[in-house]
Amino acid sequence: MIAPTNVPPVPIPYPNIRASATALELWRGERCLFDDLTFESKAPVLHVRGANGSGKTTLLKVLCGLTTVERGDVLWTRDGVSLRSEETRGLLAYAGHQDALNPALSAAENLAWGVGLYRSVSPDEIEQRMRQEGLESLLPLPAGKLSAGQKRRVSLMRSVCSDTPVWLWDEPYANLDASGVDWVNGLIDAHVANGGCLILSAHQSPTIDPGLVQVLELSQ
Amino acid sequence: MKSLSYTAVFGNQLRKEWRQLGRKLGSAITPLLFFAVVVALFPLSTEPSPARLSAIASSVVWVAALLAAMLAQQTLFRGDFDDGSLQLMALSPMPLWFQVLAKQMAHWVVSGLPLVVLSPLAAYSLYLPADGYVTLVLSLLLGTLSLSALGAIGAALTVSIGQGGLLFAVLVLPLVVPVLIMGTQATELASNGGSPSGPLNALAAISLLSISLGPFATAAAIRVSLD
Repeated sequence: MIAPTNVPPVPIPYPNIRASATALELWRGERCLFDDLTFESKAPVLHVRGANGSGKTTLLKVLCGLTTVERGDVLWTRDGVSLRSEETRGLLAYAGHQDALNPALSAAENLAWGVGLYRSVSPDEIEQRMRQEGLESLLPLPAGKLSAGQKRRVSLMRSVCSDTPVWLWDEPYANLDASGVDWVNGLIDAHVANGGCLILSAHQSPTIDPGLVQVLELSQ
Repeated sequence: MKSLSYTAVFGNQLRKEWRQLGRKLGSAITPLLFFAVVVALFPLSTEPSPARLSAIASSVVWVAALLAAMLAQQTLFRGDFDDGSLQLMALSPMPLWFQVLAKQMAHWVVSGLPLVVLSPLAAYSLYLPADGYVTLVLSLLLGTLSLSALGAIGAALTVSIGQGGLLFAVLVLPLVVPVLIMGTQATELASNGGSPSGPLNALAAISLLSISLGPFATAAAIRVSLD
């Protein structure tokens, strides 16, 4: 009998990582985006909602430390113990509006570079992970030749392959067809089942058990 | 989860830079062509006698190399900023300054080093005295390294401005003037049979300073540009 190969490794549950913010204040020119925004995420999924221009993208950038606020604090905790800002950096995978794919390089090369920022990874492993999701046909294509939906899938796969406990996804459903939306929901389910944490901004709700989702509504 | 080593991060950036070069050879050799064209045009605009050309050879090669290096450096972070890769670099667990250093060195290998390699040929076409060649190459080696570190600061500061070309020049040119002065001085001294060690040492000191401290300034500038 031949031993099965390519068995996916048994996932190690991620530690409970949560974000909270106190009295955030942020101005963009003359416009006040947040004024005294305070929240504490208790559920594994934090769903940031709000109209266009309400500051969803900015809030995600503030949470991962790309944007600094005028006033207030962002605090990340692991199992209730607060983390220093440099401790959080390897734990967060951000997939923003921009897909961070170099158009001249293939999807495989882009993934190897992006995941390589977080951990050592071999091209074989990336190929295996992409095959699990049925996306291996995209790997040899130049990122510049991919459709918007395909780019979105590859850039979300970068978060998945990074094996970080926290994903910050800005509009993950954008440009995706119905099967793509289902695929994203499946990724979210698996990540949360593994103990991972997700902060997403989206106009539509993930299909995951609403008991695991905390909604943060941003007003204008 | 395998953790990340400094060499792995360095290799990661180097691979990306090399692959990009392979795909976009045209834009990569533009600075080299610029360098060759400036050096080739100079004799046409002056009296092309060996005595006259050899007197200005070191200055011409150095100024052309400096401008070509600046041309290559200006868009160092442009692509990564536009597609969002720079945000990923800023969020990586590896310190941003180290990634900047890796990217800058990788970029130097594909843009600065070819200038250094090409420079003896350019100097030969301008009748540089035989004694000057070793010093020219050595000073350009140190000089282009320093220019890549200083240029990276300017590139990071101006990356979020759409047309940052003029601002880049205004910011960076004053910083690179000492490099130019020391480089041409060293080559001049050596060509005239003197010892170039004074200006060469000063150039080495400038390079060391800019390579060791530059990435910290560049990393800070990137964070400001991403904000």
